[in-house]
Amino acid sequence: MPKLYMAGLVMDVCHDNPILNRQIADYLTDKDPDFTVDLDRSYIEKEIEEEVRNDLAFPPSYSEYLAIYRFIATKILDYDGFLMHGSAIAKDGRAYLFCAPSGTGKSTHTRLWREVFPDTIMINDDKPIIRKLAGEYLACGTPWSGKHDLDTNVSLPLRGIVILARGESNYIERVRPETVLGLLFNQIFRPSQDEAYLKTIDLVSDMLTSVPVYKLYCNMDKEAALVAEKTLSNN
Amino acid sequence: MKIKQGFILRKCGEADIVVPIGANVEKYKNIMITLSGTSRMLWEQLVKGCDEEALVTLLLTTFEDAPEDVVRADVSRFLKTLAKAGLLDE
Repeated sequence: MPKLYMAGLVMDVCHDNPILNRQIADYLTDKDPDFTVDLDRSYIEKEIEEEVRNDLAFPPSYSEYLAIYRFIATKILDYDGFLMHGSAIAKDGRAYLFCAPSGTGKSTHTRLWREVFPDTIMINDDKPIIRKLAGEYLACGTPWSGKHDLDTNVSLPLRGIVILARGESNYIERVRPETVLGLLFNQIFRPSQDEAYLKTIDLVSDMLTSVPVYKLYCNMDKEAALVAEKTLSNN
Repeated sequence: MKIKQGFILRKCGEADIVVPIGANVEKYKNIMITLSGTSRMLWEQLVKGCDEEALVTLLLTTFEDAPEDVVRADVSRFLKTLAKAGLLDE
């Protein structure tokens, strides 16, 4: 069974999951685990129930794949980490997380970055882990990265959270986090236990004191990446 | 009037947010409640339980220069917002 190293932690995953196995080449390690992921059947059944509630029907191996990440996303709170929905990229060692409701064009926008700036690293295109380490919030690559499987096993300091909205022209401004809390919290994985959720809120709250939040209005032209990068790299 | 059970007030940056817990999680999952300084004062009273008049009095004694008709209108609007979101027990 694979041992994975990601977000600065080693996890012993006791599941022979075909979907996960396809994506973990860059995450394998021999180091001693920080924790073990060994889910019993009921945990995976819960994942399936949740999918049925949301009108989704996945093959069992996919449900297991998701259940493993759900477990990790909760467990990682013990290490000051949480899971946030969004497309996380990095340029010049600085990570940026692009958030928006599904279908707005997060992946499209970060693809523009990779076209315009070939040195852009795709950390995780869909569900990065954000972890506080030595007083700094890091955006971490993981092998759960959405339908295009775009991720890199790096953990880099998060220098901006960018709320994406479609616009005619390209414009970015820094906003007070209080004005976008609803949207931000919609992107954050909510653990089922209240105590864990309150810890998540406190971590997010702490993160917002040091990581700036921006609102980006953008179209699908390459100029969008240029405009965003110019402001983001200057903070 | 009283705020329904199952909500926790939590600081988030400069804002106060109200978080549904326990059985409320599913029911209120699409609602985000943030409170300003003044509405936080009102919320804290409503958690204990009080009537509209007590809230008006509280604001009038805290903000001595505030015109009473404006305060009454604000309190009434705030209560309507809470009631509409299903947060109040009459």
